[in-house]
Amino acid sequence: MENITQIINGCINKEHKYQKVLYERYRDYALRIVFRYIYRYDAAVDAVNDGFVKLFNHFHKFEKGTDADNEKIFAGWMKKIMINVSIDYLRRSNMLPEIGGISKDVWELSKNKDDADQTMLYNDLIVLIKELPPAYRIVFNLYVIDGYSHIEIAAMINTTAGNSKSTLSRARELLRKSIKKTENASLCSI
Amino acid sequence: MQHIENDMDDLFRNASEKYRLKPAEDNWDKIKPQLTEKPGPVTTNTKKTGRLLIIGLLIILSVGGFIKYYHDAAEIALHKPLTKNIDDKTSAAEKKPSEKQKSISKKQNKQSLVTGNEYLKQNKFAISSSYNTKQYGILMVDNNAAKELFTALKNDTAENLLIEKIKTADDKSNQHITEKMLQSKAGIQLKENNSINSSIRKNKLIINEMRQKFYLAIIAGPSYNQVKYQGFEKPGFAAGIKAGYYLNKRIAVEAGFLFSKKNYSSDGKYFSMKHVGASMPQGMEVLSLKGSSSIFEIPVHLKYDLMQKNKSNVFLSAGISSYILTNEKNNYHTMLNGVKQDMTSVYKKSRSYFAASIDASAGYEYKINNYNTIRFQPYIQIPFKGTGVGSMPVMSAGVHFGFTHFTR
Repeated sequence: MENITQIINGCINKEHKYQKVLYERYRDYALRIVFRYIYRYDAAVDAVNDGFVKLFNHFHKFEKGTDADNEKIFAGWMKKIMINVSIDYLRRSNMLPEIGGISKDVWELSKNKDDADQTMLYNDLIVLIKELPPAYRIVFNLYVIDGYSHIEIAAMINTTAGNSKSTLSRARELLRKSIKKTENASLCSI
Repeated sequence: MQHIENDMDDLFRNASEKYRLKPAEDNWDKIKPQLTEKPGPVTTNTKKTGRLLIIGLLIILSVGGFIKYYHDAAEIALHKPLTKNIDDKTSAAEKKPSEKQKSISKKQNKQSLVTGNEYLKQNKFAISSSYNTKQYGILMVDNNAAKELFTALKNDTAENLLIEKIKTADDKSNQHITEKMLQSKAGIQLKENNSINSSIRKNKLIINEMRQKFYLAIIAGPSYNQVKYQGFEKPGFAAGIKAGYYLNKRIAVEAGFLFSKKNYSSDGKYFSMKHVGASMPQGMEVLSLKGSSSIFEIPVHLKYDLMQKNKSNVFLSAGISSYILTNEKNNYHTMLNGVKQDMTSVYKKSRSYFAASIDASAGYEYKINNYNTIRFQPYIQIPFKGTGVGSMPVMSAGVHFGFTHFTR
């Protein structure tokens, strides 16, 4: 099995063999990032494909580190590309809020019974993020989960840091209400 | 509060790491054809940018030159001094106006050079008034002085004057005007002067002075909206302000800023999926919808006063309105895979539409006093283009009730 540095070198040299290996190794990771931003599963898959095309076509810009660090550096670089592709997709659809639910087929069920409830909770929390209006969803994902600062977010989505903060505040408020609604609903069903 | 937020953030961070998604499909065959063998050439847009810069510079220079030319050409001969004394005896027949002016000024004992405006204020008297205008007369002694005043008043825009005619006393065709003026107070003075100086030739300058040209109006009223003649939903409303300026006695140009709420319903076939399709599940069909929009309207109209009486006015108005749509809420009745379901979506992103509708109206205005009127104005707005996420052509009809104030 090739190590990451070998794969990276192969990708820099535009060798399809190594590109395919890299794609197969990281596509699930990429989809999990993109699915937090893009509402529909099929649209998220398309965005991941676009992200990898962009990644491989610009691999000459990747700055290698030591063998030990390359995996981490690459994961961070790929994450940034996937996030940018997701934001571009949402911009192209004019940040319009999506309608219609998310099919249950997209989730992987846990084989372990003990984990099942926990997994369902995590899935439900991700659905709550996805149900935010696109602009709120982007800021929440970037700040809370992906660790960007408001200044960086402002530069990425062409707004001000102040606007980013107020958007995050509104997103949190909506999520709080959604969580409370979900809790009340589950209490009523008992 | 902060610790609750931190807990919530940790919860979502945890979820993002541990949630499970079904494995992604292998799409390598779709990706491979799009990969370049070598780094693509970096194209520069330098030439295109350069051309655009040159064109931009030419446009700026042309516009600047244009403005300067008209600024130089449009020097206004304001405040040309005139002699005040109207009892001049000198004949105007033989000498040029400028020489005449000098000879008058030399001969007068009391000389005061006044502007056309000041002369007018001191010497005008009212003849009649109508909805928009008051008619004044000015007694002039001297032909040349009258012409100079006429020129000065024409150029002197501060007085809002419309000079309609200048008559001479010995113009037989206008004898009736002379008689009318003689009935006024100043006319009596003319008679008196006549007895003193019967040889003085007197000119009359009749001026129609418009009342204040600039006005502001507050308007509001209900509106009814429909898409493609499918019937009305519950009424909406429109309210805002308008500013207007009379170009002449009858024609005014108006511009406004209104907030309106439009309620409508439509068959799904008039709802375009072009912008909103990506946000709906694939294969979803919109069967019908009911919606409402919050819009800032910017109308620009021409108003024509059709029938002006002393206290009232019937007018026609036409123009265009541009929209800034700030909020849209649609309740969709949809079908997906044979299953019907109702869905709601709110769109808060602003969209602007230039010249979105063609407007036409007729109205009635009643003058409360010299500066204020009230108006009743039914109107119709015919859509020029579709608006909203579904690009639907929404036609509106309603009434504006308004209060208008003319500036002093």
